[in-house]
Amino acid sequence: MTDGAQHAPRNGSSTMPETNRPGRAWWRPLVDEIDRRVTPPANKLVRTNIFADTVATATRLEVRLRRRVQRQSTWLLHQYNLPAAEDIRKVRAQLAAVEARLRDVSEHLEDQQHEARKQASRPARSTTTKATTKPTTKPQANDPS
Amino acid sequence: MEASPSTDRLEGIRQEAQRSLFRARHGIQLITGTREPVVGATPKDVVWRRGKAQLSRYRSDKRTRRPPLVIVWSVISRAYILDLRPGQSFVGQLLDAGIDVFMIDWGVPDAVDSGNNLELYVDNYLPRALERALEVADSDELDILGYCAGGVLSCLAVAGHPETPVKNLAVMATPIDLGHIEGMIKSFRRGALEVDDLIDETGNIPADAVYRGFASLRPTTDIFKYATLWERLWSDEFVEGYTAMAGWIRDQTPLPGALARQMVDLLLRRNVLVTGEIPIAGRTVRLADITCPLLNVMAEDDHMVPPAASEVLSKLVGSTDVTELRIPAGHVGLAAGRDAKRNTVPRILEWLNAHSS
Repeated sequence: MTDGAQHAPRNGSSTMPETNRPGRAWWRPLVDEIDRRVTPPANKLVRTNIFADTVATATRLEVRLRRRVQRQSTWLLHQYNLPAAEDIRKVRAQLAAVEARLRDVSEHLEDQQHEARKQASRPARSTTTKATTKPTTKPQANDPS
Repeated sequence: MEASPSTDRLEGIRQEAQRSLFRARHGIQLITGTREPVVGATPKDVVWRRGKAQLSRYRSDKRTRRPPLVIVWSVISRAYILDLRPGQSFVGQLLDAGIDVFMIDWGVPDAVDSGNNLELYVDNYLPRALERALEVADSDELDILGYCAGGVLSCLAVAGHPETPVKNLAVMATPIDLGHIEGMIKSFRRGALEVDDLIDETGNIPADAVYRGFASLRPTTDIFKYATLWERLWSDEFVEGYTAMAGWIRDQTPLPGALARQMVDLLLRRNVLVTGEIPIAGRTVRLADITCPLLNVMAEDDHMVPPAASEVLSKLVGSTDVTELRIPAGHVGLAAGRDAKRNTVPRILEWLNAHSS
């Protein structure tokens, strides 16, 4: 991911004059040597099945733990008739679902208007063939209920 | 006249003091986050918008070549990498070559977009955006350039919508055989991880998880990157380039939950792209239906989408005119930085020019 960063420009209008450009830092060969020794085995390790499974297990454990804490804190807050983050999440998800539905309806209307405009202008440009507008259905945002 | 050793020593001390001053200034700017690099500066106009997706047309007074080129960006990262910095801009180079450049950017999904799926991008957004590009450019045909997952969407849109007048299709670092993709993807492929394990309260895979997935492929990069930064912290230009690129790398977008589920089930576990027949919206989209000239650009040192994952596309399409291009670069270097400027863009331009008549 950082190959570009390494290729970032190294010449040009630095505020340091070009003649003042220093040579390599004294510690750089040491860092490069460590890089040469450490990076290949590390890259190899992250491509093994064991690594993939370990990361997956750690992720699942973390998620399970977080959800358990969330459930318990929600239960506790509900005992005192207080809203928990989970309740807010549900409301936000419902709002998002409504907004997504509205978006679909307005897009559908937009498509119909566009199609009507195209039909109206077709006699004038009957030879032009362009991408058709094919109405598609799409699922709504996650409904928490 | 030669300087005396004591003068040399004094000059050396003076330079080192000056560099230390610059290091301190840049270091403080980086730590406090007050150094904001200018990215995506090439002027453009949004000519179409739907949901979070938008099609922009870059302004230019040099448009000499037809048809227009529509860049289809990936759904995972931010599109400004192609216009990272003035003088280092992929888009800028295309504009200088006289191309009318459009860009489809999918935006940053939120809870409203958690239901966005492959059908939405391939059958709804892309055909409409391409149609709008044709209208705006007043052209009867267009060229498409897809990058990474944007390449997959481009292929599916071209194959699934033969009515779209695509003259040439170019794809860069496009994952087709997902059996070759490593990292967190492997955990999904092996069934050790499910999409629902990563989905957050918005119904999407959060940007941070996407970033961690990519970063895990090169675990030591961050450490050695800081060594390079420290070494060159005195240089304004280096720090500018570093902050722009490092900022982009961290600036991932969430992945819509519905799309993530489809990608894992369909593209990863069933690896349907490699069969050339992809079920979308109740029909089968066949890559063999791509009959326009195809340019398949691969990065030889790509650790995310290795050439083995992309090269199969050349065999799956129905085009008789297929060109494979291997650039000695990494996944990001293919689109930004020195390698892109010297290799990728000139060679893509060469191919487009050869196929423009």
